[in-house]
Amino acid sequence: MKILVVDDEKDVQVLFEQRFRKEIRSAEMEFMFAFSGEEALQFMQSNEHEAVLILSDINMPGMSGLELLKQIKEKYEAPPPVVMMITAYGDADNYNQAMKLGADDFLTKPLDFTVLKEKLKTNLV
Amino acid sequence: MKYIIIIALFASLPFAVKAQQILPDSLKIAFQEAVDDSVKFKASRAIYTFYEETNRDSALHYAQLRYAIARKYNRTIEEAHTQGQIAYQQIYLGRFSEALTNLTEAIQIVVKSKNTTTWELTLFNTPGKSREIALSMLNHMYGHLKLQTGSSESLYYFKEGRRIGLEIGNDFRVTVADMVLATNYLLLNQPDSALIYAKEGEAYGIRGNIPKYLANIWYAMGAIYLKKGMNSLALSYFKKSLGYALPEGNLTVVASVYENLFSFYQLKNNVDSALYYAVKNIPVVKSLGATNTFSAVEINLGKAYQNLATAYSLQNNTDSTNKYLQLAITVKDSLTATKLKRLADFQRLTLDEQLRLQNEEKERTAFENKRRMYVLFAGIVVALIIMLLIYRNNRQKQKAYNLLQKQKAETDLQKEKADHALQELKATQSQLVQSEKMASLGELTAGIAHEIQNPLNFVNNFSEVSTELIKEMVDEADKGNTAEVKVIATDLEQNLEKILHHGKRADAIVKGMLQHSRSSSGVKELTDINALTDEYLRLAYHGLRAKDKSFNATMKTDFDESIGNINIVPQDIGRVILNLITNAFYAVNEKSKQTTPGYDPTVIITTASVQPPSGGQSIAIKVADNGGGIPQKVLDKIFQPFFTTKPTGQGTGLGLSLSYDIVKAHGGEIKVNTNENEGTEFIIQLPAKEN
Repeated sequence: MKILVVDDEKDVQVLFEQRFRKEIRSAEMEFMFAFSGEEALQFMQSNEHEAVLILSDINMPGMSGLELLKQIKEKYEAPPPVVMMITAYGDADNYNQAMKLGADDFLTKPLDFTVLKEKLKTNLV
Repeated sequence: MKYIIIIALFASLPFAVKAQQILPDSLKIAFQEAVDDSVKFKASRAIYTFYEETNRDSALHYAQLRYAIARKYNRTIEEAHTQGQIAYQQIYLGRFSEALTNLTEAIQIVVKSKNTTTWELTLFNTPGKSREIALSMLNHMYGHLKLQTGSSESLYYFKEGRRIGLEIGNDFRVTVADMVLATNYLLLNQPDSALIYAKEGEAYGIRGNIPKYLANIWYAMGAIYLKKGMNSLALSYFKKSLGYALPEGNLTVVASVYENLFSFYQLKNNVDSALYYAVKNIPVVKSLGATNTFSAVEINLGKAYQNLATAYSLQNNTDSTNKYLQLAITVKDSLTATKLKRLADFQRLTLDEQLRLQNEEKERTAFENKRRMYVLFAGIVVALIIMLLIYRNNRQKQKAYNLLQKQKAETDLQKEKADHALQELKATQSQLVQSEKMASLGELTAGIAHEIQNPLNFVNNFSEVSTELIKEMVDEADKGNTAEVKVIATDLEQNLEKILHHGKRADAIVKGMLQHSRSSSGVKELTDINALTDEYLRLAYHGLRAKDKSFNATMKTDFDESIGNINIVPQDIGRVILNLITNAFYAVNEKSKQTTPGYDPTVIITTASVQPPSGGQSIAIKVADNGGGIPQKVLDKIFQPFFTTKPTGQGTGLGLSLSYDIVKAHGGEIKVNTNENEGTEFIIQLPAKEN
């Protein structure tokens, strides 16, 4: 299962690689990283349908996570990739907007990786 | 000239000419043929003098002629003088009313006159002042009028005339005064007083060589001595008097002497002598043609006829006695009637005059009283006005003072208020500056929260994962899998670095936040402009994002890495940068709400090294946006305090104003370029090195 992580914080990559080191080692999960919405769309274009799950930060310079969500849900209809939104601002406004745009899940920072793992595994089933 | 000489001869040599009963032809011719009025005037005077006591009608006629000449030449003194002579003749013609009118007029003229030029008023070679001579003469004539109208006031006027004559040393005027005073006292039956004046008059008359009136004086002395019973002395003076009076033609004196001699001889019962003088007196009195009591005896034709009748009766000549008695009665009746009528006229005139004078006095008094009343009234009015003015002035002063006091109090109050307001304003200003700081801090809070959240996430997550890794490492070590342990150890090392990095990151943010909120230290320090700009860019972005979830914008940075550190107060310049970036984001966000989705809101931050024309080295920080731009009409107001285009409550209006002050305080400049609907760029230029 290929998971695309979109965040402007580059250290997210290191963190994910360590947090999911067992899953990566067992090839249960494959992580790819993009550091902006634009980069994420580019990746999606060149590796169509590869990422079945996208984890995106909402607050990013340039294209925001919500904009990215909107475009992904518009462009990739069948099968639509699972998009989980992560944000530091877990307010109702952000949540509602994300859900309206078709977000599959909504997580708030700081990320509880145990919960995230469970959710990812649930999605994989 | 010829005439003047003739007149002079006549005037100076009266004794040389004997029996001047008829006016000399030479004098008549001189008068008739005179071309020059001054000659005519003098000639007429000479003729008057000739007729003065001889023929009153003629004397009056020539006096009037002279009067006309004097008037013509406005010789006021001589006019008055001549008028006095006219009056004199009128008195002894019994025309008292006319005489009074003339005298009154003449006195007024003399009193008013300022003209002292005369032709001949230095009378009879006696020096004197013409005006005083005239005044003395007029008093004298007034005395005559009083005497002839039966008033004892005559003495006063004669004495007044004498006094003036003495004062100016005029022997003529003193002589005539003594003469009349002597006869006047004689008439009053005071022979001793009369004698004193007669003797005085004799002395002055001789000294002044005035023969005409010496005849009168000597007659008077004869009469005085007769009264005193000194008959031989009296007769010698009568004789002496006639010796002068006859050649002079002084008929008054002649008649008086004859009258006295008749009475004397009648008393002595010398009937022949009495008849002689009674007969002799008739033509004299007829010739004199007048009636008077001038010589202290009654001289008139009636009396003369009666004397004659008496004389004839003493002779026992009954026919003649009856004839003259009858004549005397007729003439006397006529004379008495005339005299009574004239006296009545005079008295009426005097009464009228008195009434007129009384009325005049009354009117004058009334006028004076009126005038006084008016003056008093005017004075009172003026005083009232002055009092009113003073009162008003005082009131106004008082008012002004009160007003001033009020104003002062008001001013003090206002000053106090103003001071208070100033204090409040100062407090408000510092509060506003603080609130501006807080506002920008508020804008930052969300960004800061986010900025801190991220590093803290990393710290937490890396710590957690590291704990897991250590367990794993221990397991691998137990298995003797050394290679794996080493890999894990490398990861752990990396994690710890990450933890440290993000810890420091959070620390820097907190420090920055504290710095921002703290009052400016005002201390300049070498600061990395690029780092400062980047930090605030991120803070601004996240701040705005936190407030407006839909907001997004492309941020581009173009930092000149060569500019190095410059000496600035970092909090202050940071605030400027933050303000400019926040504004830029606001502008693009506003525009994105209105424009089509194709619009790409973009904010570009550029730093560069520049060389300003003024020399030295500067750095420029440019914040450019593609927002709506600034309308030209507000462009010159954007740096003014409290100016804002944001809705109420959203902006303090102090951002750019403070930015401007801060940049100026750093010796820099802040410039703005804007195009409506295209965007705005703010450029801050700061000196890189202190000059």
